[in-house]
Amino acid sequence: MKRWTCILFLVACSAGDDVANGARDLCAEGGTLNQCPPIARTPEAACWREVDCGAMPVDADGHFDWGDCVQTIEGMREVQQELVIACIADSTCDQLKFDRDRCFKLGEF
Amino acid sequence: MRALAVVCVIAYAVPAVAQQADVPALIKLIENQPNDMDRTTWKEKRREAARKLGQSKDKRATPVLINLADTETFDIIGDIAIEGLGNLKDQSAVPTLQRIANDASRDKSSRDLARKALAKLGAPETPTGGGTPPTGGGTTGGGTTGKTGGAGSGATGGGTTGKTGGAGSGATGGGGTTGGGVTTGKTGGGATTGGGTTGTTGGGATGGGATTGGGTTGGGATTGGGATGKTGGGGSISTGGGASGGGELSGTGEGLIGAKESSDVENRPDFDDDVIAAYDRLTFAAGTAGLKYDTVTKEMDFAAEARGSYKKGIDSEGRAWKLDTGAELLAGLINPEGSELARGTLFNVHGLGEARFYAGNFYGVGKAAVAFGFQYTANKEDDGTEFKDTTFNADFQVALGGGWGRVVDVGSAIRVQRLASLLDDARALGKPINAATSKKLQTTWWALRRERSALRSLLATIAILREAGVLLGEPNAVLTYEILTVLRDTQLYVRPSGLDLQLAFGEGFLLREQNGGGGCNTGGGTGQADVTCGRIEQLLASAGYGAQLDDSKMELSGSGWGRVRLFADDGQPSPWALGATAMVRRFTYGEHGDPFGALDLRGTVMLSSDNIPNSMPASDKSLRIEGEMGFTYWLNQVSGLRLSAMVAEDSGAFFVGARLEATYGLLDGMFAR
Repeated sequence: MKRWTCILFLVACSAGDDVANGARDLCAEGGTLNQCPPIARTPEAACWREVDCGAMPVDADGHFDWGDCVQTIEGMREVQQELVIACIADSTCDQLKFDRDRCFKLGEF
Repeated sequence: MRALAVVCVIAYAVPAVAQQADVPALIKLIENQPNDMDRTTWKEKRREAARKLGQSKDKRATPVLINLADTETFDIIGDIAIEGLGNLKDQSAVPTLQRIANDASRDKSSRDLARKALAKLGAPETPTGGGTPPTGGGTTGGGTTGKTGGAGSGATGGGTTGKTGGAGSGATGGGGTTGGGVTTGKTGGGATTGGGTTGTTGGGATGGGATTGGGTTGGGATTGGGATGKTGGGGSISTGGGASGGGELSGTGEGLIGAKESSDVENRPDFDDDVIAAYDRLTFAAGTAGLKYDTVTKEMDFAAEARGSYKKGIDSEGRAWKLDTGAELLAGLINPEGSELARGTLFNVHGLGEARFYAGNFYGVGKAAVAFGFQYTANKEDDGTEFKDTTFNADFQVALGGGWGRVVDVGSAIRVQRLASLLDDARALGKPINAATSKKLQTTWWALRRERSALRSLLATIAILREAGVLLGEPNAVLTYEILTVLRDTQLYVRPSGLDLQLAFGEGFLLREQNGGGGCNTGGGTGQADVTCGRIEQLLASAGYGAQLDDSKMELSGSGWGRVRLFADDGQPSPWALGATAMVRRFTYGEHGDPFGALDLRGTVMLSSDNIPNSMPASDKSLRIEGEMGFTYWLNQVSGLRLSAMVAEDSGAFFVGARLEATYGLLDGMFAR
């Protein structure tokens, strides 16, 4: 399956001073027995995968979180966006947790 | 005594009066659906009325029953009429009954009933006259069949059907259901204008011959009825019967589909009788592929991604197994002007197998999972500084456990049910689709799923239904379209049904290496989190549910899961997580079964332990509650647009969003008993 996605709007806002690290998915731990389902090829979905895997918090002041992730990817040029999103989508949770920045390095320039 | 006599007279007279009064009412009920009666009820009442007419001994019922016997090949009422004609003892029914008795296109049960009716009337099973001008046509009607006779005419119409049929005329006309006239019955092979005047498949424009063939001038008159017609059927307008007459337009008088297709398709999967469901899904996608060079910035970018998966599973009464494999390959190069350079490669391959052994609804389960992955990234800065990073991972895992029940994909079985339903609505259902026919249909679709065109699938489906006696007569244009629509219905893929509960213990070894050495990351550095590696034990729970409601136009489904790491070494975390999703889908269809789209509503709850570094303060647990509503509009079989809106709350952060998606993919192969 191939999927194109267009986000019409998406807003995230923190609920006060609470620090939220994000809920973890089944596939965040435990290897291949706990497989991740496919994700949509969007910056938002890719960043949710990072949160679901436990590779980054959903909202953490002063740290790279879901909102920073989305902004970073959306700030890249098209081909870099595609590469980074594909890298996150195709990686296992352990690969993402091992080095969260690995996929983002593909879009650094 | 006097009072008793009066009562007896009344009791005797009432049935007679009622019988006379009932016949017109019964005829009216048969010919017209009352406004205050739904179609299903009317169909039942109609059959009942035909049965009563057949027992009425009233000859006024004869033309009506003849009409039903001739034209109602899609409903049991046709057989009721045939039987009734034998009871009425009206000799005018003989030609019709003879035609039916010798019509190979009619159901065997109809032909047998016609023979019995002829026996009751003391008439032979095959006609003896007709066709030629002196005896054919006119008011005596008759006509004959095939090569030996032309069409006749008369009150009950002559002519015949199918390949051997000619045009007929008269009230009920000849031509019948497949020959010289076909689909239109009264207006086709017969009526007042002669065989096949308007029939698109039988008789045809040149067959039967408008006013000259079988029509008012008599099928057996000087120009009518194909007296010499090789294939029967009226004949051309100018010449009447003859070699070119009748069925020429439709070949041999077949319907829209014809009878040439075979129900035997190559490479049909051969499932044992105890197989409950099976699936075979192959998906391949080239996600990103491109090479770009920007002459302004002098930057060259290259990106390529390919991924594929293969899933196969079979559920039998006593056992079940499934295989889920996949691979992803990604390669990218970003090379802006100057010495900067970023390149990366990712390759993952993974497989998961599961086997279940059932004792009633309870089962024992064994699983095995293997995976290998490789990642490489390299960055070169402007000053020439270069960073290279490689990781390699491998998983070897097994799990043992038990559970109750199963969830299977019944989409293909629903497709069969939909076929039966639409045939019934069209009064073309001869009998219910049994398990053997359902299996043959589904395995045929399975074998043909890679074909670009649905034509072979349609032809084979009709051939199978016809062979099984499910489809009566020839499907007309509308019915053919509706069958095709069911075959191409995209909303019948992945339709879960059943309940499955499972608990398993997993044991495995996870290898995680970085830059050729290294071991597990303990989560101390920037951008790094805890990674479990080495030996790992875990307890896994899962649940699945699916139900198809409201004629399978509504679906309820849900899933739940839980995991917790067991026996972790001192200092190592024992992460756990729970999750559940419930979904309702409402499928919408057009008037003729066209799938329009689906409205879905989904709710998800996830709860997990946290232990992520770099969050201040670190939280113990995280909870997410998420809801999503969307509408999917199908463009074709496996492509569609989806508009959705979601709202989520995750550990204090609130999200709202909307999304528009477009999707395309390959077809699945499925089977469900």
